[in-house]
Amino acid sequence: MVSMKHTQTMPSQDADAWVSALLNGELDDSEAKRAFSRIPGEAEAATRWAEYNLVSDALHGDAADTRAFMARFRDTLEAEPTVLAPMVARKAQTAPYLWTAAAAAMAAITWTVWTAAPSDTGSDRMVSAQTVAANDPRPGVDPVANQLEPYLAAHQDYAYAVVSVPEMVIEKVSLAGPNQ
Amino acid sequence: MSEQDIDRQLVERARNGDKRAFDLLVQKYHRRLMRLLSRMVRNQEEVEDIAQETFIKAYRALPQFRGDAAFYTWLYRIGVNTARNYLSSRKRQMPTISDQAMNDDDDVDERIVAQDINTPESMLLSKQVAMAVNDAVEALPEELRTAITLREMEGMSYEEIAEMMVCPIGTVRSRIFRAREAIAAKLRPILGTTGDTRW
Repeated sequence: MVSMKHTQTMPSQDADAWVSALLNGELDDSEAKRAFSRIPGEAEAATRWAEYNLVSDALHGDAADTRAFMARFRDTLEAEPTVLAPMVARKAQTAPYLWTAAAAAMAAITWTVWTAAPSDTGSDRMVSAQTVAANDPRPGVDPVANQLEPYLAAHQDYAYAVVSVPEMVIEKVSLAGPNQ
Repeated sequence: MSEQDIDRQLVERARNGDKRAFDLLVQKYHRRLMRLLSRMVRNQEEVEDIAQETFIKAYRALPQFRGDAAFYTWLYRIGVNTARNYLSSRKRQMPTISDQAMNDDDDVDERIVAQDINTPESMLLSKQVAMAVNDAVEALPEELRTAITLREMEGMSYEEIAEMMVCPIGTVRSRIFRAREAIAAKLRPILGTTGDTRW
């Protein structure tokens, strides 16, 4: 019984075993890399790769003798300029995108809340720690309104701002001016 | 490792300048591709020409292969497009061929099929290989025959085969290996391959 799982060495006399293991998907990444390095240079391993793929194809009804086809293809491939385009790791490609997307999402959420249209139902009270940028703990001071004042004043808009720091209560305020 | 992982490793090696890795991919998929192309193009010589062109196109396009799809799916699309282009160009050439054909015979398809240049020897060899594989499978002990059939014909995973055959996964792997080797051993006299014969 041949067990190739996590095998560290692949002696050439067992080429049939480890090539079969490779085709079965039994080898891990590093073992498979070693196997693929060896197959082209070891005649027996290369023959096994071709044979076992033929067995698989024949079981699916494709038993054609294609040695002439492969010989012709190899000549053509030999004459082709060598492709050199290493693949970039997918993690490195997606990580910055994910961070950017997350930051954009948070900015959108914050922006949506601060520019929410005022309600006509009197004193709307919302408790939301996420919507508060209260850096100034002084009582009576509306730190968030102060930060947004220029923008909101320019848009003649209302906003929800923190009016009571300990409770983090947010109420509708008019931002025509800092004292109004 | 899945089949996709195996292909991914070979594609990476090929993109890093290892042409032999691409050769291994071609060995793995060329028959399957030609079977597909045979459904579109009847002439076997032309099927091989289109397959050759497909693989070269795929090799040149490796830098564009992102790995989102399976390699064979990507290869399949290139093959279908190459065959379609071939058929379109042949359609434009058809009046010339049919003009000659119509003089003698109204059935153009028969004339095209007659251009098949498969030699009797290669056709005989293919038949022998097919028969040898069938005979070898029939001669296998039942547990080996079941394991290789479930794997190759039904595409079942090792876990599924182990569950069906009520045996450990390691036993499944061993049976598949022994079955594969037994079938290959029956093919060697037909193909004339030895340990150091490259094909």
